[in-house]
Amino acid sequence: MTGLLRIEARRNPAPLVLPLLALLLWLTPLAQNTRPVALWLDRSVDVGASVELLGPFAAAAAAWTASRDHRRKMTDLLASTPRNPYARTLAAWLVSLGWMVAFYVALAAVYLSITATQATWGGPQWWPVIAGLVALIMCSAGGFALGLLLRTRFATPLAAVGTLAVIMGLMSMAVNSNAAIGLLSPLYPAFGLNALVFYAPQPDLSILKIVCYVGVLGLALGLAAWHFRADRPSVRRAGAALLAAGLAVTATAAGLDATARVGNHGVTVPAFHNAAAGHAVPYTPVCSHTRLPVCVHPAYDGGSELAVLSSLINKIAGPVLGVPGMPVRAEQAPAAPSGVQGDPPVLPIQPFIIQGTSLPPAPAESIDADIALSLFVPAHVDPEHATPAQRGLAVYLLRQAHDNPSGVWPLDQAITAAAARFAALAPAARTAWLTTHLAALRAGSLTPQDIP
Amino acid sequence: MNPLPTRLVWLHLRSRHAPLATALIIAIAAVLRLMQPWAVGPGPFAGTLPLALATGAAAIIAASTQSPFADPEHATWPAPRLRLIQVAAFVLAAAGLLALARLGHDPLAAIRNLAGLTGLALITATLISAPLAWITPLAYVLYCGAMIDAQAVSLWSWPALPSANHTATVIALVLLGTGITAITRFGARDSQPTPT
Repeated sequence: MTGLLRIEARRNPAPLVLPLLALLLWLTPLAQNTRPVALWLDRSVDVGASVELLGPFAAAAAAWTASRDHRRKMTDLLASTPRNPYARTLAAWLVSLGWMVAFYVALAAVYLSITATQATWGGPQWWPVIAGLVALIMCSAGGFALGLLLRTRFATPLAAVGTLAVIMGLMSMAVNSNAAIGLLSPLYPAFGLNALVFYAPQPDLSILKIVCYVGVLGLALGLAAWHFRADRPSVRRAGAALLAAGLAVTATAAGLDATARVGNHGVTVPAFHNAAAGHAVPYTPVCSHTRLPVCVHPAYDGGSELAVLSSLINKIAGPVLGVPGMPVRAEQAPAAPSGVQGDPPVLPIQPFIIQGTSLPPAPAESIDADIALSLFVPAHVDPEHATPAQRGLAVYLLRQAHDNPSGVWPLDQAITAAAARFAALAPAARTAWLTTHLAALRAGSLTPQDIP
Repeated sequence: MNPLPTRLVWLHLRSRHAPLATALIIAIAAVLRLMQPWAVGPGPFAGTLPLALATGAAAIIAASTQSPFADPEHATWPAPRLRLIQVAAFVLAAAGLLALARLGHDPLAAIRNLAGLTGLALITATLISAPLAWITPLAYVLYCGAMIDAQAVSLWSWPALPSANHTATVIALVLLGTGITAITRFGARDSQPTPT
């Protein structure tokens, strides 16, 4: 068997696609995401999500390998050899898979090593990495079965494109329709990315994915064995057993998937959930020494996150600081954005990763708008539900900070006119009006016309 | 130029597995239609799914150009015309089917993407081999998906642009024209030695 594997390793086509995969990885966001801030869980999820790139090629390489004897018109000749045909074909697949797994492991090693030099909190999270590895093996096994069963020139492209379409389709179902089956996509993050560092990670979804992928793997290998059922009774029995086991495990995973619930901390699967382990993790925040101190979780204390965030918040909130009821501190919180809360008042900031020295333009508009609106909406209210008067003052803050107010939506003429009127007031008059009317403004009892 | 006998055209198409290829393209269009609710709207997944399925159709068209006769066929005089008829018929049929599947959701973009990705696949079939022609369009679509995800769509990722972008249409047509010209003139490169 070792000799066979050695021969296969020399002949296998999988190494030929590895440079292309390396180029693709370099061109895609995975490679761009190697600058601080480095969160272990985020980076681990990234490694698992690389199956989006590796999976289709693993499936195609396996389908190409499986159809080789047929393509080379060697089937009859090889049938005269004494070795079990399933074992022989399986050896070819194992080599094809081995190359892909080696590439995945190398990718994980490099990516997580970079993370180790940048992360300021926590340690590696292996569940998403393992789930990604099992997903890769499943993709390869699926391609292998397809290559054996569909003996045509179209098997390889179908394996590649089909794998990508299934991965994307499932993920789109999860994102656009909240369909439970979409949670099983290798791309669906196993953890709530908003709560990455604030709570102990729950591996529920990773375990569920691994169970499901193992089931599909059994089905694929069973179908492949079934293809050789006429050759040996032992292969027929093994194929039937693998098919039955694969079906049972996949059905179990589908049943468990139906019980999964998506929450702020991630996905909970009752069968795998350990409620005691999902506790909040204590930490000491790191704060900026600015007029409005901005505090972040120590995991975000890498790169320029704190400097960029504190500059951004101070630039937007500057004109209203010091008004009674306005925040004395801004602090990252593992929840959706909401109004100023607590005593003394604190502005909660949703965690997000800043790489480099500025925010990318598209999320920047939304983040800027959330910060400005959060200053005027009541505590625990989503800025999306801001009243027109609250939006008017948010537009004023964004304009004076030279930010694009298009993230404040919907905008109408009354709102922009109120913002312009307020901007025309003297600073002392603005502070005086806000001191008197902030409570009424947050309560939602003012209209844009009430703004002087 | 003498017209080609219908029987010759049919035999050529059969040698290229045309009935199976047509059935697979119909199946891809059907899947695209069924997946419509999850293949529209913003986001990288809804944006990449129709591109992936268009890549499937393009890869099947390119894979169908593989000749079972290898070198001996290159010596026959009607082969380029037969290849042109085959590829043109497949592209037209696939474009119609995918446009039908995308009715109501920018069908022109589906046609444009099929054209450009088929062009890429045909160029790959000419340079590498027909069974491996899927590699280039698939890799390119994965790159486009990453650009959609990063909200950095540009002409480098033209399949992600709306059909109103004329430069993207020109790029797709140039790719298709180059691919069809190459495959018609040279045929798919043989990945195997001439059978003896």
